[in-house]
Amino acid sequence: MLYDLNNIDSTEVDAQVCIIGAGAAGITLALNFEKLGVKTVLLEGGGLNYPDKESLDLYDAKLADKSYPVAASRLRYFGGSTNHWGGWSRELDEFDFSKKAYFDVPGWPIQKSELTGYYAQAADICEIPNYKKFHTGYFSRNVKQGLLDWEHEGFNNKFFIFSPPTRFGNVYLDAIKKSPYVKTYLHANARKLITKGRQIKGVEAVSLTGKTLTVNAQKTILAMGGLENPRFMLNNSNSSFPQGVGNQNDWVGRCFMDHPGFRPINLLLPQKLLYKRHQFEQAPIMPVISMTKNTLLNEQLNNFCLLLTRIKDEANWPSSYGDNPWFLNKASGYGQYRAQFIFEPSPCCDSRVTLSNEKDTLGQRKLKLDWRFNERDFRSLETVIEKLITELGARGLGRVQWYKHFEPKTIADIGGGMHHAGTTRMAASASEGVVDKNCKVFGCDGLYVAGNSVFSHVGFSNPTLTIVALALRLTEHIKGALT
Amino acid sequence: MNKQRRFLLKAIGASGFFAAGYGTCYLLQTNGLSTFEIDSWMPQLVIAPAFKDISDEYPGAMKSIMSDEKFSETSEQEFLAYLNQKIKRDYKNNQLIDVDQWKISLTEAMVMAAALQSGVAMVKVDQDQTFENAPFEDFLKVKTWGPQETYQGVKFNEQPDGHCGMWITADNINDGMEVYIGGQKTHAFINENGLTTGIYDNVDEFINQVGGSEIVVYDSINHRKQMIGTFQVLPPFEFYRYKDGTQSKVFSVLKDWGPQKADVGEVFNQQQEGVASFWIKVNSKSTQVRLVFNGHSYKATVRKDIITSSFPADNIPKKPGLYPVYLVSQEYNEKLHVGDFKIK
Repeated sequence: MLYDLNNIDSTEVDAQVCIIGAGAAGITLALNFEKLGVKTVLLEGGGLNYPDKESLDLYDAKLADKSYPVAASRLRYFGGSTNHWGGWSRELDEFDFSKKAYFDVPGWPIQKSELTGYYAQAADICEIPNYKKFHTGYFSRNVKQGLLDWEHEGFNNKFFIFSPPTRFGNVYLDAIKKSPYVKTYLHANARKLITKGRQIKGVEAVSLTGKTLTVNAQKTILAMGGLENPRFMLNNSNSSFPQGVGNQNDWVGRCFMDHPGFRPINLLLPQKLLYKRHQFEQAPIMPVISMTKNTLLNEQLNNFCLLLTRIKDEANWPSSYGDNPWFLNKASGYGQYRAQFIFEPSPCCDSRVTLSNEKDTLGQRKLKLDWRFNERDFRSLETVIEKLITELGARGLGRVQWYKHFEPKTIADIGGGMHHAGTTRMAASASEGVVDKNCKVFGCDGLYVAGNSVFSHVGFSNPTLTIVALALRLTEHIKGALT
Repeated sequence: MNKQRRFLLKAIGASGFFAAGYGTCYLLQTNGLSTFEIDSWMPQLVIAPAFKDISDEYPGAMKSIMSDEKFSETSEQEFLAYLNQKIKRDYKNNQLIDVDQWKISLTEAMVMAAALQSGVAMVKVDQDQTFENAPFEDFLKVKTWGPQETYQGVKFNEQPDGHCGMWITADNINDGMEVYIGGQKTHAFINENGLTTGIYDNVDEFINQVGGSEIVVYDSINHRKQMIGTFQVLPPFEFYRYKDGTQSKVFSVLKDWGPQKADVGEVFNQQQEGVASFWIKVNSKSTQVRLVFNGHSYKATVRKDIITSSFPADNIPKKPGLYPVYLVSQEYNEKLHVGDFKIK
């Protein structure tokens, strides 16, 4: 059932579960609760279409030193950021769940194996046709044409797969409308958690026209994304939660991460490489260059991938330089490529979302974003480049032109993938994060978090597939926890 | 200086054509060249030839190079194998120098220097490679492209930002493809199936100039171009004249339309989604046209020479009679009576 809070009288509803935010996580949760017969309320701050200016202003933010497209990276309407998602998909690597003592902040308290079954379901929800081949390593074994043949350890080829992309707001709207167990309210902006001591009992929502909706729920799930989740938690302070709900150890909003993109090198490599999106057995794949788990761990590196784009020869170093006898693939000819790294940021405590003193039209303090990196992230990438120079040169595969280094100006120019992660991080204990391994917020009862904000470490994979898998896992946990 | 490096230096020096190059090699080894010197050098370094090329250019040179210690016993193959190993070892041992920010093996750099000094590598830099001087080749497998024509003054495939979009479906697209329309470079976006492009600037000027504009794809990576076809701006169509004698500014003379009749309860010209639809063979200067029928207004799709519009079956009149069909352009404030639809 679908309601627009603007078009109904102020009201109060009871539910077993209340989900705040109708993006990939929120809609997945709602549809799965529907299947499980759980009485659910789904709140969406926007409507069914691109929001108007008044609604967008609720996303207004202040920035610290580094620029970030806070407004452009979010979509406040039904379907959330899946409305501009490019469909890039892949599981997180096993490496991403591995212990990395060389990172300042601990990683996931769960193993990747805990998500295996959920990833398969998530792939169906995201309409990915070739997930099984990805998951079973079929591509690694069978996609050879146009890819570099790496040694057993060190560099390797990894693969992205693609959702059409699934616009959750379009594809699942009918199912949401027809759900007998799920009541969805549009233009319902969550404003305040209903608390009793340290128990969360639901949420109060309000429309921009002043209509109110009170949802009394056993369990409340925040699924508003990596910027709004911490902002909402920090805004919800009271005598039981003086620093904001779940923030007793000052973790909420810390460790903000996004996937940085950086283009420091060009490469001379065999031409006609296929490190680009192309059809393989009737479905799209995109091979990228990365590294094996063991090498990343042994060398204490961050995860990364390298995307190649063929470019015109630089005048002084033509592709024909690859005709020289010390190149391995001279028979097939060489060409120049621009190389873009997408690298994993390690969690940085000073990279964070806080609240500014300015308030939005609903009386909530606006967010302030201070995006930072750990110095080790840059050193890690430099090590990768040095290894690439050695690997390509020592095997006669190619050459590297290293023309950009990490300096204040180039760091300032680094952009992200608009994947807001880490701000309500999952951890083994309250001293290390915001939610436990079941996405339940430490230090209170009845409150959970879904979405990218719970990611402890982010690897280089686009997050949607993992967000959906985690949401599926969360529904089963909550179903078991309901009284 | 270790034995291997001495071997190479001696070998190159002993060739006889490299007397002046010895010091240069040393400078390269220590990366001691000033930026100015490198800058004046490198533009000439279009290709560092294989040693075979040196040998061809200077008969006997290769033999000299390889005769450092074994005199005439080392074959070219052996020497190249040695060179390969040496370069690979350089990379493993981080014996590299930085030339134009390329990370080059020390040995490799010395060979380049030797070749450069010998004059063999003094291949002239090619003339600037541009769209204009690229040769025509058939390197794309073009499946289809479009739109291919419009009438004067009529925007085609108009996009939300106002540009007129075009598409080329082809295989063998690479990242360096550029599109030129009428000799002017335009925006091109590469996708899995080919390219999307279009007229982005001076759209009105383009669509008002009757005649053909060649569409050419330039492969900037391989410096070649291919003619895709010619887009035609056709002479203006004949505008419709209303009964009061005024001439339409948007619609052409009406050529045909249909369906023109149906039985009561019949969903005429039914489409896949179950809706009914009209087609009208007419031209329109505007794409913002609506069809009015039985008191309802519907969005119309304007294509070259035809306008179509569909609507829910529930809105079909349920009683026999004549029901007028109109095309309406709010932009031009015109309402064209297409005809009367008959329900039997």
